[in-house]
Amino acid sequence: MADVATVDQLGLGDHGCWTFDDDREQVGVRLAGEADLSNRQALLALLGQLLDETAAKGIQVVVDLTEVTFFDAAAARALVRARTASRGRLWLKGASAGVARMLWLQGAGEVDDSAYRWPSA
Amino acid sequence: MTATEIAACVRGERSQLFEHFGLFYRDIPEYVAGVTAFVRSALAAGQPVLVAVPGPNLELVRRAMGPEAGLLRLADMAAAGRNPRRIIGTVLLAFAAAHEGRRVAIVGEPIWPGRTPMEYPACLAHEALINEVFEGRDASILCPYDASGLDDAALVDATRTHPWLTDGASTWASHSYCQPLETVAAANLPLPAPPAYATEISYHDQHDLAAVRRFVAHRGLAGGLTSDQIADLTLAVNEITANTVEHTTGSGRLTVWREDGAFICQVDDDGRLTDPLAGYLPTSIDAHRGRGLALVNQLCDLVRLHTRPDGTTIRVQVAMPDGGGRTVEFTHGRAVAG
Repeated sequence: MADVATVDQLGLGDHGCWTFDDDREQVGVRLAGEADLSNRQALLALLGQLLDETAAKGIQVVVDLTEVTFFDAAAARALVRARTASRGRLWLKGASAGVARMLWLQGAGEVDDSAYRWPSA
Repeated sequence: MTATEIAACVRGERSQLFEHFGLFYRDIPEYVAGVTAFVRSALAAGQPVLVAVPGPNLELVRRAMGPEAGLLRLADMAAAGRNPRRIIGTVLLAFAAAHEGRRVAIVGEPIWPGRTPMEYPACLAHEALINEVFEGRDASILCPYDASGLDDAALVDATRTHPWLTDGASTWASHSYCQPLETVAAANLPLPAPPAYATEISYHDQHDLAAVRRFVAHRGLAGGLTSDQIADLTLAVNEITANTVEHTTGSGRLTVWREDGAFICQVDDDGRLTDPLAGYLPTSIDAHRGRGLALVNQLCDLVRLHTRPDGTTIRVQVAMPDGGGRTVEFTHGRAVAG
């Protein structure tokens, strides 16, 4: 996978540290820690910026959730909405059972089951 | 039901209206006769039919309908409707939405003799709000009431929440029917104070929410909840306490204890919840507000609210995994609730 930016504690401090070249087909961001009201705006900003900056070239975005230990409802909704807005460019990876359950509760299942898999390309 | 609507009924236009019947039954034959008459007339009219009643009664309907039972959608209300605050969204509206554009018929039995005093006011508010939510919808709902097993107060309440009453043979307008929101207001009762052995934690801003979640997880673990229950309860309490931080100016207090086979979390804050339908209706993925309570209703076995001009108390509980010895009793059978 391409560059992975670890966004520690969901964007506190390291927000926006990922980089990628224009010819990359894929960019990754790794979220870690707990997503709740205290970092909701940072997460929304992160997702918005990721999608904006990759839109022109149609770059795939992989969000690695392996190190996420808690997702509140708004964080799960933000990812489900980002997945919809990305028209298939945003992928989720490594959700724990608890995080996957929250994504499902917030409608991830209605969006697309394939959102949980790596892109084959 | 308004005078205009009743006039429309008299003119034979009832099929265009929402109908909500209370069925009083005294024994199994009356139950079977009343429910199957309703179900068969709906099937004859080509309507999709949902029967959501407690397990033992579901079995009665299944047997009485024979091969036709395959035409019905069946749901155990003691499980799907264990938390009365999620019945409208996940049972009734979900069925109507699955058959959009068609008139649907539903048998819903949310109140049975084993409902606890803590559950009952939530059941009553649910029955009243059905009228509010389904007004103008093309649906009929029949709610059976066990007239020999329920206490008189519950039967009187049923005449307040159902515009139409039936004994299976005949149907009449209820003269005691009340405006739904009046009934909901009457069911907005103070909750009992937590016991002296309960433990509590205060929270003040968004940075305290992690500590609140830790508190729930530790107490839940010590209290004997399963890891799935702890995860769900943590999610639920997080949404409620985040609501305090986001929508009120003050602090909140979380109190936790075990009682009567349940693990209970109660949140007190100075917020004022004014929407009686908060958490009852499914909301779109794009809605930013109003999803928190709907999620809490999904995750908990019982949710009770007491709203006041100067504050709100939200009490959520999950059943202990050992069941706490609680048994759901029916007049005509028994079912153990896990």
